[in-house]
Amino acid sequence: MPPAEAWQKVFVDATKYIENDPHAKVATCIQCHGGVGETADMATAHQGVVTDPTSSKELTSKTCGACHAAITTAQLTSLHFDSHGYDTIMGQRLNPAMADAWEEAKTNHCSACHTTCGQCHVSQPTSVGGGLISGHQFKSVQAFTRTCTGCHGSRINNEYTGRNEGIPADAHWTKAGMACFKCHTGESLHGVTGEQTERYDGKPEPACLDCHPDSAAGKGEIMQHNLHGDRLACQVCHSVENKSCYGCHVQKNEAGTPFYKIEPAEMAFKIGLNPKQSEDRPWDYVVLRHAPTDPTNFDFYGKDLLSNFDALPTWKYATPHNIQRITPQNETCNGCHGNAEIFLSAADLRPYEIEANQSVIPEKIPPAMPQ
Amino acid sequence: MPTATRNRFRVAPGFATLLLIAAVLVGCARPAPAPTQVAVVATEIATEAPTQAPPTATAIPPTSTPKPTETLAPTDTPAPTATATATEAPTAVVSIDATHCIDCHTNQEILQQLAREETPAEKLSEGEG
Repeated sequence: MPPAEAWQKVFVDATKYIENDPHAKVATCIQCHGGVGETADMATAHQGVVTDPTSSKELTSKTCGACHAAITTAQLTSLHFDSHGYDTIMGQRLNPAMADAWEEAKTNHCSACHTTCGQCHVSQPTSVGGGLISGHQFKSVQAFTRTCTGCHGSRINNEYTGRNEGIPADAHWTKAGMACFKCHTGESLHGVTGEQTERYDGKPEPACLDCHPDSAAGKGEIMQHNLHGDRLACQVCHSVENKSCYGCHVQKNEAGTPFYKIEPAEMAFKIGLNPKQSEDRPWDYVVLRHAPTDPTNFDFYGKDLLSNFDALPTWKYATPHNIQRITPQNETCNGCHGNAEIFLSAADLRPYEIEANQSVIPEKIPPAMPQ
Repeated sequence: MPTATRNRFRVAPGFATLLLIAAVLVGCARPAPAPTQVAVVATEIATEAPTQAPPTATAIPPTSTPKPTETLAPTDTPAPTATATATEAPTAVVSIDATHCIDCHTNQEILQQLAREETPAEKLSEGEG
């Protein structure tokens, strides 16, 4: 995230916003942000000011929702707005008797990672320091380097733009310079296409086949696509080493300030059985990535908070953003067939997660092909 | 006098008597009962304005709203305190004139003079987020 000077974060561009942005014509500063008018005293003027008037459902409905009702309504139930995906996933591992402790932990450490209308269209996300991007000018799409990658940075941005040493950037970036919204549409990001319980709920959005229909089995001339049919997710052949995280532990210091400590990330490429196999995601094999979870993540809030830890694999369904046409595993048949190194096995697991991952470890790998 | 004409004069006094009796009876009778007309009015109201309260509602004596006793009255309706008045007053007269907001927030020099970098609390965290 590019740094912004403190003054820039609150600078309103008279030309871009006051004179030319239609939002400046329908409401005054005070009507959205509160505060006190007709005073030159700074402290008095800022009494009751709300920095982000889209930070709650009530405020958003009154501000954005007054004109953009449909998209605002959808947004308020989206994963981006309240991060309820955390509840879906961690809720399955959670000790039901410790729901209150989880709520406290989530509020202190997870809820900052949500976004609002304003934190995409006007300012940087609050979780990365906030600050107006274009002098308060509203844009349907701001630069993704000031918005999306503020939150989706250490894994997605680094993979997509090739910041992991020795790992090439995604072909969609290097060859076409595609920004996030080229694939992740506004409808999908705002939840207009339907409520999701977590990121990979429902059918893939976006789906590779939306733009590459000829890559479906039987639809084109590429033999490997026709041979593997729907058994392999696209990323199995077309993504490369990606970042796995381990052991994020959260706590508060004596002053009550929340913080976390996370183990160093590891780069790996692992194929495993599809933990989310369904009609929408029919593949037998998918790429897996290690989530930064372990049974003691939330010990600060309760020793047994994740008592149902084995309910989900810690090697989770993943869609790495470093797509390549040619990869080590698809360069030759035996780049994958007979190559035990790239399939998840018990040897990849730490003692605390052996049981949790039994459902995603292939019993046997595809045998090597005769040369 | 022909026979037919005589007969006519003989019938006429009897018919007049009957008319007189009928007129007396009608004049002494009570007027048509009012409920018939009320029912018609009520039906029309119900058809044209279904959301209105039925006309009979106004006829219900106010027995369902007993007078508050002296004991309850002071407790339920406390006199507004000075604090409450002071809190509500600014809301009622708040100005939405943002002239000062704009003057300051569009002035780069003023903002640079006032700007203070906050120390990020995130220093406590270790590792990639």
